[in-house]
Amino acid sequence: MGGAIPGKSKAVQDERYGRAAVTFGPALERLARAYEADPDQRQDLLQEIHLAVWRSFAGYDGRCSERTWVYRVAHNVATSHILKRRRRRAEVLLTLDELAAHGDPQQPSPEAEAGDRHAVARLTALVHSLAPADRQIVLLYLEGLEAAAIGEICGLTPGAVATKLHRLKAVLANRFNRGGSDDR
Amino acid sequence: MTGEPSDFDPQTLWQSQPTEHDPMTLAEIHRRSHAFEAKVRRRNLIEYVACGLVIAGFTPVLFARASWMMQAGAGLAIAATIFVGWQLHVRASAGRTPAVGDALVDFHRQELIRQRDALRSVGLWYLAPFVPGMTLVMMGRWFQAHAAHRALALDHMLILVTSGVTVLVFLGIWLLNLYGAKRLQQRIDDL
Repeated sequence: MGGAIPGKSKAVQDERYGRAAVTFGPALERLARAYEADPDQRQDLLQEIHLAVWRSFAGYDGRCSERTWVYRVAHNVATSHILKRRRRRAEVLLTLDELAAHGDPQQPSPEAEAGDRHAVARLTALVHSLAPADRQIVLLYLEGLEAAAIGEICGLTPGAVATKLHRLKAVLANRFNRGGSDDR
Repeated sequence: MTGEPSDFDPQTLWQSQPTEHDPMTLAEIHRRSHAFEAKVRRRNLIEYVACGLVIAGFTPVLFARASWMMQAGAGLAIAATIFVGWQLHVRASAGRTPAVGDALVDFHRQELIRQRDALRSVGLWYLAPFVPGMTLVMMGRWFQAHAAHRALALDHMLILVTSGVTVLVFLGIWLLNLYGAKRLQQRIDDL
């Protein structure tokens, strides 16, 4: 990718972005919320994602759907955001396997404590504790994508995605349906 | 637990979150894109000015006929500065178009590998080019160009201290970057 496709004008790029912003705008906002807890930095991240999506459409070659493309760009930008942030401050992020086996060892954040009353905040807190690779899968699942589509976006086999989702559902059931041993 | 339904549906719950921000308008996107490009141009300009200052600093030494070693060293340092400036330009240009449309697993790994390689190679393209020139300049000062108004022993002492500090700074930068590369390698191995 990289350079613009010959014959494709900036107007096409604008048109694609406009369509994507309307279709995926709310999902991108939820994605930013799942990657950044700080409201100011979250807004910056969201704007960075939108800008990256627009810029990326200059190199969009149609080999995957626009939905796959937008999710890839957004998650890649957000993952880079996490990597930069982790260089500045140490964060313990967990895989789904670790969460399922040991629970979340981190101290409850104000958001998580508020989560006793608000399930969305608790779900967000859980997503925040995940390592990037698992966070991407969980977020795509929460957006309602099928295992095959998640696999295409992430570059994983549907089987690998299904295994992760199975683990995720166990974690969710433990935390939400039964009150969970690691409930706060 | 406070009143969560037993048929808890995380997807519905997640997608029911209210949106707080309107999508960015195209005018705003274009404005930010121009601002980003201007920022990149400013950063490049600062790098080129810094290179220009280093070259300006060594140029008088290049034409002073006090010591051929110092002249050769200054010439090599100027060549090293041009090389490093070119490397900065090439590396910044390459990093401007990351493959953000790649599958997530590939991008994540490539991003870590790119950062690791950048840190690992700092010694080679950023520090090593200056070593021959700096060494010759210091040797020229030691053997061929003493400060006339200073005792020889004191002059040698100053040269040793300056050389020692320079070596320590170079070594420190190199080791810090190698440490950073090692930490990134651990994260690549964990993937």
